[in-house]
Amino acid sequence: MATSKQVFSEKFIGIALLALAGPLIWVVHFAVVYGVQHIACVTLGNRAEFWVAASIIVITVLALLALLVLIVKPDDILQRLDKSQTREETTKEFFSGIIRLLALLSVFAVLWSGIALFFLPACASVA
Amino acid sequence: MANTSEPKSALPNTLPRPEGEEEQLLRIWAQPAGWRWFTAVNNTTIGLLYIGAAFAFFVLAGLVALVMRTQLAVPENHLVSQDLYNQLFTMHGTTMMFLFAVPAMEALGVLLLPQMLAARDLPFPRLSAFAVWAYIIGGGVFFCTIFLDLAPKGGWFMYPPLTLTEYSPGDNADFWLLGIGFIEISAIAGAIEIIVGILRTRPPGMSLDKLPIFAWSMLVFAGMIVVAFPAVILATMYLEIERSFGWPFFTAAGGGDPLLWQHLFWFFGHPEVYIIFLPAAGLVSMIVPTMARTPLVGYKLIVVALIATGFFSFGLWVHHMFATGIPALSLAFFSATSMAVAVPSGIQVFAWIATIASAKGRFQLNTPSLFVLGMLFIFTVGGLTGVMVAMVPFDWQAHDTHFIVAHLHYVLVGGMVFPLFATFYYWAPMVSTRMLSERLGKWSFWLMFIGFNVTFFHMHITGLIGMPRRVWTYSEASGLGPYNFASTVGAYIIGAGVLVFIIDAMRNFRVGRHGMSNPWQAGTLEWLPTDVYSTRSIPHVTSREPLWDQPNLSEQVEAGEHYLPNAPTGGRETIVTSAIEAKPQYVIQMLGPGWMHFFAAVFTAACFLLLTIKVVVPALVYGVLAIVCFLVWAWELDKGPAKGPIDIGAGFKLPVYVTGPVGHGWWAMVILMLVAGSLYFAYLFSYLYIWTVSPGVWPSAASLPRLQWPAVSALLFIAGAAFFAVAKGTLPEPGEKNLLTPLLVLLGALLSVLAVYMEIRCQWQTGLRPAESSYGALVYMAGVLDGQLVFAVLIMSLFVIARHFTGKLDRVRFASLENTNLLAYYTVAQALTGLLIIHGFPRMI
Repeated sequence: MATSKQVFSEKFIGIALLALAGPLIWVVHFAVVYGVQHIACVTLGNRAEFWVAASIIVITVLALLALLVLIVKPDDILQRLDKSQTREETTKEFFSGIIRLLALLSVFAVLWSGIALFFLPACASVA
Repeated sequence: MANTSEPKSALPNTLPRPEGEEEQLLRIWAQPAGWRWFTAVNNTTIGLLYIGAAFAFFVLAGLVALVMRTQLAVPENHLVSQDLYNQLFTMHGTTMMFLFAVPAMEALGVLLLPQMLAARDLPFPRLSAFAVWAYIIGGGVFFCTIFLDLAPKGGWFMYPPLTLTEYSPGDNADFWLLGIGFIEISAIAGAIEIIVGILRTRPPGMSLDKLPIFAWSMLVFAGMIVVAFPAVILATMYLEIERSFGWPFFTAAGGGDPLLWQHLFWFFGHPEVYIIFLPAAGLVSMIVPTMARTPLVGYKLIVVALIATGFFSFGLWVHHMFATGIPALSLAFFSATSMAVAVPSGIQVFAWIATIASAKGRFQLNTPSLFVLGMLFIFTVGGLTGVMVAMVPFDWQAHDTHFIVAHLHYVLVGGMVFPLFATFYYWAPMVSTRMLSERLGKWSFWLMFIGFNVTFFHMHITGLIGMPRRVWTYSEASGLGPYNFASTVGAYIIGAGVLVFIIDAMRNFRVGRHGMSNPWQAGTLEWLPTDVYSTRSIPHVTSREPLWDQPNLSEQVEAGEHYLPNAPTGGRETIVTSAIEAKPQYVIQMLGPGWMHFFAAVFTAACFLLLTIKVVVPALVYGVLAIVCFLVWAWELDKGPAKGPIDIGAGFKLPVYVTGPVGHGWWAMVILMLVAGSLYFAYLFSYLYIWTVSPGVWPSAASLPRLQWPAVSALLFIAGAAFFAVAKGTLPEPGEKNLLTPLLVLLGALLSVLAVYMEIRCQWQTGLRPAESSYGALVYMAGVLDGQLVFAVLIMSLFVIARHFTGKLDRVRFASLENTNLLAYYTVAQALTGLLIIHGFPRMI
C-alpha cells in the first residue's frame, strides 16, 4: 500500500532481540541444562551422570563465550544490524550499554547455574 | 506526501491558533454523562474506575485478613469454623494477588501512561474499558462467593489433588478456576494495550533512552504477563477439564501428576511477584528523583535491572517446589537463579539510595517520601529473607511455616503496597482538584508501617519455632499465643492506617482538573496542564525530564504550539511514533464511547459464571452474544484512509491509516500470537513432563494412527494458509468487489476446521479416549487448543467476508484481512508443531 511504504520505519524486532540477547542466552542455557538433566535422568539410568555433566559443561561454555562477545563488541554487532545513519548517538550508546550490562548480569546467572554441576550429583535427590 | 522522518521547522509554533479549536477538542473528548457514563473510554475515567475497584478489593481482602487474624489471636479459638477459615485464607490470597495487585498496577498504567507519554489516550481505549468491566463484574461475583459458602478452599494456589472433584466436590473450586481464568484474560487484554501504548504512542523525540522509568517498568510488566499468564490459564483449563470430564492430567492413577499443576502454576506464580513489584519499583523511581530534585542516578542500570529481573524471574518457579523431592541438581539451577535475581533488585535499591544521597540534604520528607522510605526498609528485609529461602536446606526448614508468610508479606507489601500508597499521595493532584492531606498521610504511613512490622516481623520467629501456615487454630501448649496476639494487634493497626487514608481520600480527593499544576515540581510530562483531551498539544521531547530541561514547555503545550493541537479528522486521534526513536509515523483514529465493549464484558462474564455452575445452554447463548458485541465493536475499528493525510505541525504531514508492521493493530495481533505461543509452549512442556513421569501410558508405534492421517491434516492446514495468502493478492481496488477474495478466505478457514476434525477423528478411530490416561488427555488437549484458534480464525474470516460485501475491504483498506491472515498463519504453525510432536514423538521413543 502506497501510504504505508512512505512511513518512517525501523528495525525494531532485530534491535530489541539484540538488546535482549544476554538474557535470551540465559533462557536457552537454563532450558537446556534443566531439560537435558531432567530427561537424561529419567531415560539414561546409570549413563545419565556422564551425559548430564558433558552437556552442561558444553552449553555453559558456549553460553559464556556468546555472552563474552556481547560484552566486548556490542557496538560492532549493533552496527552490523542497524546501519541507520540518522539514529541519535545517545540512542546508540544507550543500546550498546543495555546489551553489555544485560550480558554481564547473564554471565553471573549462567555461571551460577553451570557450576552447580561440580558440587551436586546429577540425578540423585538429597531430600 | 511530506517526508515523515524529520520536522521541517522548529517548534514551538507561535502562530495564533484558529478560533474554536480547543472547543472542538473539548466536544470530541467530552465525558458521557448520566447512564451513558458506562460507555466512557477516556483513560482517566477508566483508570480511576480501575484503581478504585482494585482498592475496593484490597479493602475487602484486608477485612478478610482481619477476620483471620482475630481467629488466630488466641489459641483454640472458635470464632469461625475450620471450613470458613479455609475459604477465608483462599479468598484473601486470591483477591490480593488476582483482584488487587495486578489490576492495581494495570490501572496505574491506564491512568498514568498516556499522561506520561503525552498521548491523548492509549491506542485501544475500548480494550482498556472492556478489561476493566470484565474485571469488575467477574471479580465482584467471585468475591461474593464468600458470603454464599461457595468460595474456593484450596489456598490461593489451588494444588491438586486437594482441588480435584474427589476431595473438593461442589462448585467452590470451579469459581476459582473459571473466575480467575476469566480475570487473567482481562489482564492480558490490558497488557497488550500497555505494550502497544508504550512502544507506539510516545511523543515525538521521546526515544527509548528518554522513556520514563515507570513506562519501562510497565513495558517489562506487560511483557511478563504475556509470557507468564498463559501457563496458569492452561493449568486452570486442565484442572477444570479434569474436574468436569475426568481427563486425568493430575491424577496419578491415570498417568497424570499433581506436580504438573505446581510447575505450571509457579511458572506464572513466581514471575507474578515481580509482575507486581516491577511497576511499583518504577513508581518509586519516578517519585525519588522529584523529591530529591535531581535526576535518577543510574537510569541505564535501572532499565537493565528491570529487564534482567523480568527474565530471571522465569527461572525461579521450582523455588516454590524445593520440598517436592526433585533431584538436587535441578534444585540448584533454580536456587542459583533465585540468588541471581537478587542482583538486579539490589541495583534498583542502591540507585534509589544513591539518588536520595545525591540530593545532599534537599530530599523532601513528605508523605510520598515516607511511604518510599518505608518500602525501602520493608522490601529489603523481604529481599534478604528471600535469599535465605532461596537456599534449599533453609527452605526445607521454613517451608509452609509462618516464616514464609512473613517473607511473602515483606516482599509484597513492601514491594507493592507501600509504593502504591506513595503513588496515591504523589499523583492524586494529577486527577484531583485538591491534594491529599499531609497530616493524615503521615498518620496513615506511621500506623501502617508500625502495624505492618508488629504483625509480620516476629512471624519469622513463630515460623522458625514451628507455626505452620493455613492452620485454623493452634494448641495453647505450643506457646504461640502471645506472638499471634501481637500479630493480630498489628493487623488492626494496619487497618487503622488504611482507614485514615480512606478518610483522607473522602475529605480531599475530588476528581477534576484545573487544580494545582505540578505541585511537586516534577520533571515528567504527566504534570503538563491537561483537560479531557489530555494535553492541548503533544510536545516534542528532548530529555528525560522535559519539564526541568525544556523551559516554558508547559505554557507552549497549553497554547497549542506543539504537535496536533487540533482534531483534523474530526474525531479522537493521537500520534503514532516509531518504537525506538519515537519519530512520527501516522495518526490513529481512535474509537470514542460506546456500549459494545461494556456488553461484551457483561456477556463474557455471564458466560464464564454460568459455565461455573454448569448451566451450559444459557452460558453458550451469552457466549454468542459476547462474540456479536466483539464483532460490532471491531466493525468500527478500521476507519480507512479517507481523512488523511493530515498536518500535525512542524512540517509533518501524516497518514491516518496504515497496514503492515507499522500499524498498531498488527502489533497487537503479534502480541496476541505471543500469548498463544506461550500457552502452547506450556502445553508442550506438559506433554514432555508427563511423559517423563508416566512413560508407561504412551502407546507403542503400532497403536498410533497411520501416518497418512496427520499428513492429510498437515496438508489441509498448509492449504488453508495458502488460501489466506492468495486472498490478500486478490483484493479489489477501492469501490470494487472481487468474489474470489471472500471465497478464498472462506475456503482457508474451512480447510483449517477440516484439518482439526481429521486429527481428532483419527485419534478417536484408534480407540484412544481422553479420560483413559494422561496421554489421551494431552493428545485431545492439542485438538482443543488448535480448535479454539481455528474457531477464532473462522469467526474473523466471516467478519472479513462481511466487510468485503459492504465495501469496507479492498486493496487499500485491508487491516482486518491482514490480522486474520496473521492469526491463520500462527494457527497453522502451532498445529503443525502439535502434529509433529503427537505423531512423531511416540515413534521416536
